[in-house]
Amino acid sequence: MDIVQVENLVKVYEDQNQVPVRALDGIDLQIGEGEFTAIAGPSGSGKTTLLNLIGGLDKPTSGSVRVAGQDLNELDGNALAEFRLRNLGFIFQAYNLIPVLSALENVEFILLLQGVPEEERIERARQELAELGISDDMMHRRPSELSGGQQQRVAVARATVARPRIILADEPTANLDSKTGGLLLDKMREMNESRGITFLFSTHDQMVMERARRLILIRDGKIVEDRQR
Amino acid sequence: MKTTLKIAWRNIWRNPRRSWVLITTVVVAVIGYVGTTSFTRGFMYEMVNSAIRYYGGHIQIIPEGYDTKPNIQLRLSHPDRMAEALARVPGIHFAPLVTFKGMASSSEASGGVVINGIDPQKERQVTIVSEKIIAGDYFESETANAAVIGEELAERLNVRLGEKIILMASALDQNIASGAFRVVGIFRTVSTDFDRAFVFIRLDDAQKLIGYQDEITAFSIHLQQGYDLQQTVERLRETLPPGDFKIQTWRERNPVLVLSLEVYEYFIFLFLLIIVTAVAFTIVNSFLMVIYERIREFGVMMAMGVLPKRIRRMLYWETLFLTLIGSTVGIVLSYLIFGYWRRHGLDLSATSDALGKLGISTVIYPEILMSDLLIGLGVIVSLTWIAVLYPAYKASRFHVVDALNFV
Ligand SMILES: Nc1ncnc2c1ncn2[C@@H]1O[C@H](COP(=O)(O)OP(=O)(O)OP(=O)(O)O)[C@@H](O)[C@H]1O
Ligand SMILES: [Mg+2]
Repeated sequence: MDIVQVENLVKVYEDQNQVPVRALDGIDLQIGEGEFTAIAGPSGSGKTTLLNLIGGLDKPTSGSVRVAGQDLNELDGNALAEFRLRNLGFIFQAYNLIPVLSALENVEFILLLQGVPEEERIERARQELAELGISDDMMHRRPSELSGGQQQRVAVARATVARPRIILADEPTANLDSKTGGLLLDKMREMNESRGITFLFSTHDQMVMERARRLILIRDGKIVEDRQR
Repeated sequence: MKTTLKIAWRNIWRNPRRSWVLITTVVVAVIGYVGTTSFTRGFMYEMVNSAIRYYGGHIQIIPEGYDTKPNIQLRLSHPDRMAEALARVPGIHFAPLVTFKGMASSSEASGGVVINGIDPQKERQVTIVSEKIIAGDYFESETANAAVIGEELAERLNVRLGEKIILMASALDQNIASGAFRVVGIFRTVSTDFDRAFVFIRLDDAQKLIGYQDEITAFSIHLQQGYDLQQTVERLRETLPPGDFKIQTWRERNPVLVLSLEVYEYFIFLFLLIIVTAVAFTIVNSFLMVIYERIREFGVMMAMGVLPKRIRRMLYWETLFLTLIGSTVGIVLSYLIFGYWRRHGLDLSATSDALGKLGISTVIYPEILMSDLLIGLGVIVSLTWIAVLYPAYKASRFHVVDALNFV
């Protein structure tokens, strides 16, 4: 079954001069379970907008997004927040973490929000961080005491530990050097293969495109190419 | 909850400088409040104390109608029976009093006075004039027709210890009665008015002067520490034999004083509101800065599924921690600063003239009341909470996408 079903999605912004900008111009898209897909396109093509709409962070001008069978248009406010908490994971380009919490606490926090009991929380958070190569010593550091690559690995752990249906990653490697970025992507690909976690990336990073198993190209808010690799 | 508290607590220390500025603001406000309140309380206490301890005690038993129209025709007959009853009431000392207006004169001058006949032994247990003797004594020698007068009056009449004065008053039979009295003691209280107007003689001398038998004008009653005024009034009402008398508390005797006590009460609260409002504005200001610094973070949290109300709660806790730290430090410092004066008193002799005119001691002992501290704390916590409502509301209303894009 498809986890994400996007139908005729349109998003129109107004720029500073109140001129309408069609950031998404009728997108149709299905993402199946276990996919490792990248959306690529030039700057301003609408990648972030698309991910935000799939993630329920923003409302479309028209069209619909279904995630795990749920039409996001039908949810609002707290219900949408609750839906994100249970079904969606987010990794942003940078500054993903809560600065005053340690790496471990950051990962635990989302489980706490989900209502997972304390012992299980710590156990799962440790395991997830360990799997992403964060040592016991690093777990107790705050984000500012970690390198950019380590921070992104913690962000991945926070997304995966919550067992969402899909993880939306908006240019997760854009702030990393190519070696660190490559290792992070390999890790995510590995988790995709071993645990069947579904990932959807937006990127203009060649490395991401190379590792993606499906590549969707968009330009001016339209899908121009969609191929399996 | 625990995590919300943890995040709130750690957020305080992200910008220690700003937090310390806020805490210091609270500390200064608390010290200002405690200082003002405790000195005002001490001052109020002195006012009440003067009203009670120099004359009349906490409660007086007076003839019916005497409070509205005092005159010597109004008197308590059979005071011995009353005294018997009074002796059965716990927690009080009482003393008989005969009081009337009159004139005191020496060979050089004269002036209107209030003549008071007292029983020195009993009076000592009720009022403290006996402790304010600066020359001579308080009816200790056997001297007949002895008078104890204030320093101010002695100066006006130009009489010294051992010299004679003439006391004149109209007697029961409407005739002018007079007698020669020897000054055996001179007192100085905090009130120059009191020292000019009040003359004390022995009870039987006073009775003889105006033609009383064993009648008296009043019983003055001193309430011992820990006994409640109203309860004692009730007790007296039950115990005393029925008669034409009235039980009057110091509050009823001093309506103007009671009014000014109420005014001071309002003043304290108003002052509290003003300083805390100033603190509240500082908090609004700082927290508006705080939330703009954390917009992105709020965005990430909301994307994860953190509810706006949790973000608001984090900010409430953050202010609560700041105000609690500030209040605690403020209260501790207040005790250190004002504690010294609490023990030794603050001598306001520089302004004592004015205070003396008001009949208030020149040494004020600031009084830090638990109830004042709790009210202060309550007002600070609630007003700062109100102050942070607006920034918190703004923080929770950011659009997720805008918050995430904010740099
Ligand atoms: N909040 C907004 N208000 C107005 N216009 C917006 C807003 N967000 C995005 N846009 C516009 O919508 C279009 C698509 O933007 P989007 O951020 O989705 O592109 P992108 O593909 O993610 O670009 P990049 O690779 O630079 O991140 C752009 O023209 C952009 O200027
Ligand atoms: Mg983008």
